[in-house]
Amino acid sequence: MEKGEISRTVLLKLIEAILKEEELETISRIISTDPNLTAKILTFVNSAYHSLRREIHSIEDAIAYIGYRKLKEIAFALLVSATLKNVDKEELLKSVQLAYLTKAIAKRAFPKLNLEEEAFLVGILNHVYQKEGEKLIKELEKVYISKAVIEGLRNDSSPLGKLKILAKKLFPWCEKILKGDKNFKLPKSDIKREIIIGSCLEAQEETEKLAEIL
Amino acid sequence: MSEIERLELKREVMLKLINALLEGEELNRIAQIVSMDPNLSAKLLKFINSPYFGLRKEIKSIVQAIAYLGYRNLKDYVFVLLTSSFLKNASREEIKQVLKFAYLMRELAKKIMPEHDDEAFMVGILDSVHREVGEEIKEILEKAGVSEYVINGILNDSSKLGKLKVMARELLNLCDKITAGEPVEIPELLKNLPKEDLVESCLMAEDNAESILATL
Repeated sequence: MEKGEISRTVLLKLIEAILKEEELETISRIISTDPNLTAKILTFVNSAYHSLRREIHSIEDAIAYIGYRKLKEIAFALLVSATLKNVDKEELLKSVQLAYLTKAIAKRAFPKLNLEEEAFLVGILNHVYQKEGEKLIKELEKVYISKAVIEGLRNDSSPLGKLKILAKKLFPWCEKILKGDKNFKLPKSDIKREIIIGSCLEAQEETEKLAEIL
Repeated sequence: MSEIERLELKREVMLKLINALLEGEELNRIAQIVSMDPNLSAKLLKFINSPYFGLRKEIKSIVQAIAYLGYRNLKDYVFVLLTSSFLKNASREEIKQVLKFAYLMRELAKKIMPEHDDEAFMVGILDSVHREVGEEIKEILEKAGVSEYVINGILNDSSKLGKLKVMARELLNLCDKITAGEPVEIPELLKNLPKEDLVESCLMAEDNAESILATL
């Protein structure tokens, strides 16, 4: 393993523990087995984005500060980073941004479906799935991931698959919006322009928070 | 209304808890404060085990509930409980407006003074309480150890957070039109912010107020 690299095995164990909603002590123990992972989580929590008034040194306090849902997003983003070793950071951040865009659209455009957490997972794993295909699915099945997420990766006509396609379609427009291009025209869609703009901005903000640790 | 929903909460404990969360105190200390009020502990456990979170197994310990939620979500939840405890006679729609205003404060702060976004949210929530209970709020907040920066924001419109409050009020009045994509005249105070930021702030405020209200 290269210096600073995080063990994929530990990340998969962590993901499984989070998905099984294991006790804080168990989750902390898993994280603590990998010093690089521990360092990343402490860096994330103590980053300027959180403007903490005191530094957090303990991994249990760090988890409690960010909560299980955010920890899950971090774990999946790090898993993607550990898997796509030859991909440059910019490309990696695009995967994260696509994940947050899928999540934001699920939350804002289809709030009643309650798909936002799984939408993020489909978005973040999409790049790895394209590279590894069924090998990834076998690994995911072992760590308790939902069938809906697996279906979202495999099948573009499933509910999460459709969301992923929509996010991919909107992604280039998000880049235009974020660059301040005022003359862009959105593709035809049933989703309100304001929801798309809001989703693009939210996805960018969340991606920036993770950028430091990827 | 269930037994738990009817339970009276201790405001002093809630304010102490909010402060401890803002200070980023250790998890054990946060859990200790929650446990000072058995009714608050019961409400928190009911909240975390509600269908909203769709957990696979029941959470029984306060420490685990806090860890699952994270400090920010816990803080938002306690703020809602605090608001409801002050505004007992307010309708759901009125409480939603208070929450929307507070989230709007947080969103604007993120863009203008990101280091104070939590305090901005606190001012947004407590502003309505100030209007309800008057100057008495100063004593309540001082007793609970709330920072002078926040208290000034509530009482004085020329303070930094006070000015932000004035901006948020202006924006709140325009949010419906802005999010519907209708043409609006942007007031002078808000002209320095890009239109997309205003749209995003309104959408986030509406989203967050709706989702936190759904958990009550």
